[in-house]
Amino acid sequence: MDDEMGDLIDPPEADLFARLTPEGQRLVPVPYRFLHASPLAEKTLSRLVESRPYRTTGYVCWTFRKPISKCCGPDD
Amino acid sequence: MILILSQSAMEPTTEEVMDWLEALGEPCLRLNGGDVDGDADTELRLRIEGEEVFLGITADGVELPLSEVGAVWYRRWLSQPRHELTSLLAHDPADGDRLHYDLRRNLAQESRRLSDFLFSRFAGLPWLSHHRRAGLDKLDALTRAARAGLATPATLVTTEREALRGFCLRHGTVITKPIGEVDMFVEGERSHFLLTAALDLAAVDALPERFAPSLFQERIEKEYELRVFYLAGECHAMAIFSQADARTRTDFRDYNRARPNRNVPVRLAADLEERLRRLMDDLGLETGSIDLLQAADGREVFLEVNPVGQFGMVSKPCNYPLEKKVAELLLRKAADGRRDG
Repeated sequence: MDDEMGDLIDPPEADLFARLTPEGQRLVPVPYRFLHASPLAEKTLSRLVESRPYRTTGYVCWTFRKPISKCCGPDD
Repeated sequence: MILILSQSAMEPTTEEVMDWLEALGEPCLRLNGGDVDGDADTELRLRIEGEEVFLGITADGVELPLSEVGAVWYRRWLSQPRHELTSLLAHDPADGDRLHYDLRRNLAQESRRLSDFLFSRFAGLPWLSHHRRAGLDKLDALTRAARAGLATPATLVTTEREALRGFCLRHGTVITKPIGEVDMFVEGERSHFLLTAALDLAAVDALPERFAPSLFQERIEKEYELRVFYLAGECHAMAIFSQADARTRTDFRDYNRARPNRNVPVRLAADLEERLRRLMDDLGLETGSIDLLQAADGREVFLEVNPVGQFGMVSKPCNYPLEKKVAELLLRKAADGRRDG
């Protein structure tokens, strides 16, 4: 699982907007200034046979696997 | 037989519905957009003789029984055409960017035209979701939601920092998000996500005077977020307690995987369900994933609806058997198709 990987400090190359050309920066809308960089999940599950074992404890959502929701505390 | 139009990757939902169709005794045929995108394993034959159209698809050497299809589920289609991921020019000429753009634009158009014609061959059958309504206009949906009696956030699309500044002074912190789809840019092992981001006045002042047309909305203080999977008039709702976590406060999709938000089933008020039904009818949608906020001031505020949104994220934590419900609806549609055919 890659649960904690998203919390690592992003290297400079993670800022895609900063790497656009001046022309590119002018052409993209404001949300591009706040792109959220994260590592890809170790592997995208694309076939049922791959996701079936995981579904007993969680579910697949887009490119990552998410555990079944659980109550983590009173302030959650 | 149910024809499922889908995509090959990232579709566990399709797979689960297929599981249920199999369990319920209905055969299904899955055609992925990639199957007609030059995939060597699929052979496409489309012959037109006068008014007659002959369509044949052979996959892995087996002729697909297209004439037995009684209903169609449009799940998704071709998210990544191969020509978009391929370098088409062996040698980059001086004006390579332009040439590459023109080649890809033309290939995309060819692919779209072919897909449209393929879909039209099944136009007389009952459908669940439709490719023509898969890409909804978010701004249009907002105005229709208001017309259906739903609360909506104050919204501004502008190219001007000063206009945004005025909006910010009226509403406080604002959020920005794509006018169209939430997208992800993949680069090697990294992805860059277009999530919702919050901007205070200082962030607004740091923007250039003029920028590309961008969407901004008032930031609404929320108790929790609501994700509603709508299916044939029924609302299946989940509350997402994203507010207490600084990471997920603005957008729950900035997932805290170490400490996930709590997701619980919730029953919507009857009048809210009625307003959502009115909206979906107005949009011509039989199904969709609807995002709302339960605002701190007691209002339920409509944000957007995705006609082909994922629903495993609602089905599993809430123990709603949505995949089974979709399969059962498809069965009813196939029965209708057989009766009418």
